[in-house]
Amino acid sequence: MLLEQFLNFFDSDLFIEDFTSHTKKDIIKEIANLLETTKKIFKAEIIIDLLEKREQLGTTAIGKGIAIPHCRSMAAKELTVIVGLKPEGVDFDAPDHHPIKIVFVIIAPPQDVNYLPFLGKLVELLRDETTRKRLLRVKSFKGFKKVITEFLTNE
Amino acid sequence: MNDILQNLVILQDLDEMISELNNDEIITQQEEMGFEINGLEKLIEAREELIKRIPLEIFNHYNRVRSRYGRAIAPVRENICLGCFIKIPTQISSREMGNQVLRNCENCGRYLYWV
Ligand SMILES: [Zn+2]
Repeated sequence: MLLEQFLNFFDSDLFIEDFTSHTKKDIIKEIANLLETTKKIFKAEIIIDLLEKREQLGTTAIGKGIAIPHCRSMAAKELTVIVGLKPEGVDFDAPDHHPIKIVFVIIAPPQDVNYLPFLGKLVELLRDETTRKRLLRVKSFKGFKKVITEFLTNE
Repeated sequence: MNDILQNLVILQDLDEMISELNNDEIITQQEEMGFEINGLEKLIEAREELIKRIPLEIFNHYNRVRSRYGRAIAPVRENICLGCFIKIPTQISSREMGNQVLRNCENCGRYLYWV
């Protein structure tokens, strides 16, 4: 996946600087509601239901403070990515029991071809310790985008 | 939004998720990325619960269309059924209006969801 293409999936309107919610369940709701108000999806409840079911399958927390809830849904018009920060941390049933401080939500229509490449690239980026540590300290969309861009250009 | 339509959309997404779990390649990809996959039984239980909220004749139609085309619900954009690419004859001016009533495509029979 091209650098620019990857970067373009991040949108300042879909960036939450500090979730108002304090639980995994409420964070999923907050994300789905933002998707509805920004007209990315028609009805929040469909995505809430689906993301909850995805979590039943196994937690999407990958540890070290990061969770990536992701699913394909016909409720999605196009590949859509939401990034949300929770500086104080929230329990996401992570395998390493660490509280989650950054949540990346990815939803895509059933046959979207960018879904897996995007997810793969994101996981690769988060495996880089320096980038991950820097991301855990960002406070704004601008700062977030800077860290991502630097990882991609230095690759 | 029409309740039955909402449940059908969730059912279709869930059915897709369940069929992905029967694909070893997808499971391996997910595990390599660091995601746990271990709750298939829970999804099947959730599906059983969901089906109870869908009238039998509609569920039967869903299954018939699904076995024919792979998916029983088609997204609609600009009044075109994206299942068969035929224009929907009824005048529908918004997503709200489209999703208020459970409708079938007159051409392919898929249930219609305005995305
Ligand atoms: Zn059709």
